[in-house]
Amino acid sequence: MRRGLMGWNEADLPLDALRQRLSRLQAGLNSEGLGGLVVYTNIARPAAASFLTGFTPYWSEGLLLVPASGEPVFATALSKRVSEWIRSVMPVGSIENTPQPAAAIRRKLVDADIGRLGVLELDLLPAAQAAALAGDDGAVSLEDATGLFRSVRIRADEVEVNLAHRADGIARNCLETIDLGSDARRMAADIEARARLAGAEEVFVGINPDLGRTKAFLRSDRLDALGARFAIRLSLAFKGAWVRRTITLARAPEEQAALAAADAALQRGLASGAAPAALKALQDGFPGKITAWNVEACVGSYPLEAVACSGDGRPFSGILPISVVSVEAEINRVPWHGAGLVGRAQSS
Amino acid sequence: MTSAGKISVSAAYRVRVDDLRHAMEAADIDGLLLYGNNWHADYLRYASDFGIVEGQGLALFERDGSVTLLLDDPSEAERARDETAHEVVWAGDLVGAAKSLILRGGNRRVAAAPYQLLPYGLVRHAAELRLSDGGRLIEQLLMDKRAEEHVHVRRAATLADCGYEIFRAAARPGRKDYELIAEIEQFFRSEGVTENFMIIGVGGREVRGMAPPSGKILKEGDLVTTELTPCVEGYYAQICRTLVVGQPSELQLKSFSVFQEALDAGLKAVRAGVTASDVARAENDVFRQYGLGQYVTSEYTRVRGHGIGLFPDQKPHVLEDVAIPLTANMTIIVHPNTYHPDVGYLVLGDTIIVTPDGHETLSAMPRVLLSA
Repeated sequence: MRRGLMGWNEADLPLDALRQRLSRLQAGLNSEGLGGLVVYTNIARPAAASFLTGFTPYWSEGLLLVPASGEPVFATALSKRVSEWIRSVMPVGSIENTPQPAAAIRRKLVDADIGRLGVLELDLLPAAQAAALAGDDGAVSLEDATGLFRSVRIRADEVEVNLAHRADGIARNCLETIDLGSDARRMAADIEARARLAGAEEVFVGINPDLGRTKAFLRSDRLDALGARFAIRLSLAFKGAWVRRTITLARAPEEQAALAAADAALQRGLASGAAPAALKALQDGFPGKITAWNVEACVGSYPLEAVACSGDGRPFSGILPISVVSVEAEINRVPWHGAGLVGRAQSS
Repeated sequence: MTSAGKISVSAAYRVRVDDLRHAMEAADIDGLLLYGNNWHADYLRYASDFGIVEGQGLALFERDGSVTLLLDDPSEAERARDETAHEVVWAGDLVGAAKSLILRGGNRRVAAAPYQLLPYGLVRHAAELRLSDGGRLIEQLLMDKRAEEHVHVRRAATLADCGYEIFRAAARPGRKDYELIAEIEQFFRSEGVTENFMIIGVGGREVRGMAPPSGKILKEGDLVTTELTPCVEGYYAQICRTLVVGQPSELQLKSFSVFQEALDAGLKAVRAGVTASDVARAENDVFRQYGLGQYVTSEYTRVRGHGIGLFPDQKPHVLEDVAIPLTANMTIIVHPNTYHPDVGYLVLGDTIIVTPDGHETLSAMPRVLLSA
């Protein structure tokens, strides 16, 4: 669950930015002839509702209805007692606290005579919500509107890019000083505490304790002794903006120079401004063999989702204003992992 | 489901596998499809012992105990391969992968749970997939607990007590609410606790409930409420306590005594065979006796306790209209948390194991209004 600092303020997320996002979406809905769009939210899939309203649930679930015209409505199973808190972190739209969010949204649809409803990621909508939204009288038809949402979402505004860079700054600071003498759990605990003290909303620390043994980044319950070379993956959210950073560390001093060269190459690549350029720069100048890569971005309800990877067999030329590029490589025949944020601020 | 290489399988998972297999046999179900995410990880965890963090997942549990785990996050799939002996598939298209998996099994009866959270893309093809609602098959198993499961709930309860001491020590005037949580999370991670359900309230009469931290600064005289719910091997235990920054006032102590009395009454009502409703009524009668009846309604409080296990807010919900019987070995928390008009929101509650004649309390923390 989300238990880090959660708060909205005009300086970080101006109301005007949210209004512009909603307007772009509403223009899209009108051009498609849809009466509205529904996005589902819970802690695993908070990103679309957060993009449109600034709100991320700390628990439970909800549905956001953005009608083709007018104010959005957020219906949530979070109890009425927390509506004051929701209002404090969600500056747009009205709130309905109800055990049956979809039924409440359907009533709004029927009242507004909305028959064609777009749904983000329709196939992934929880079955009970879908059934209650559609009803059984044929009055409301559900249509997948993932493409429409993505076309709006893919154009990150300056506000979002800046929040992502602030989140990345927190992640960078948390990983700057690692006590190589710590055990893995303590290492994970200290990194998480630093991130939370810096105002992170959510923090996931994964450690690959021995790059020679596994490719997995483990949580603290499965962490034991660290191997000669290990990697830390820090994923965190700051006011709805998610980033990841991965660093590889070695205990032996003689490995430090090679790792520093790889880090420098990664940083140069990440500074390229866009994921395809970053990957090209890395492939051209990496002091080792790149074995795999992937690009993650926020394009729907997931905070970060894989939008391209080396196993796809297709060239990647996606235009993503902000993304996370992760790379696996071999340096001196030993695995290496690195990841970070790619994206420059742009005018909205 | 078996150990392979370095993968160790907990005793709790072994008994869950056995129980699930028996339940499937009794219901004549060939496969059980369990859905999970970081919010509702319980069903997936029950059948696969994998604690999902990012994305969504589906586990197809076969009657022979074998499991295929579909995860839509590549890094989570990598972790599952390391942590379990299951067949693990990174399924970018979760619905498509699940459909193929079910259809590949041929002419079989597959149940799914929790059905309400299952992706619509699967449920709308339920007839073709011969998919039915398997909620009844697993829900009682999630509520009932075996001794092997109690081991983890007990450990979680002990860590909740320790975590509360960290919280109490951190609660000093001038500190921000999220800084307290950072300290607790640091402690929990260092103890191998991966998850913690936690909300907080800071202030006085204006505070109507708990929520995530908002940056409030603690000051002398504030009531600080929290529920800590650490998770060990997937199992949660919860403690609810209230502290005062500085010394409690007479009014705060007097108000809190109603909650102490209500918790005592609720706990006294617990034993195998009574219903959740009986426990809620015992708690609420105390409030009514003090003229505080309106504060036990949904306007001010959500539940008067709840089951706890692989989900921190499991059935049965302790409410006067919930007739689910408590059974021996069930783990629940009783907490008469609500608003008190004189001082603000107050919480007090402990995780217990239901026994044939009463209960066993898992927390050792005194049930008093604490000060920090």
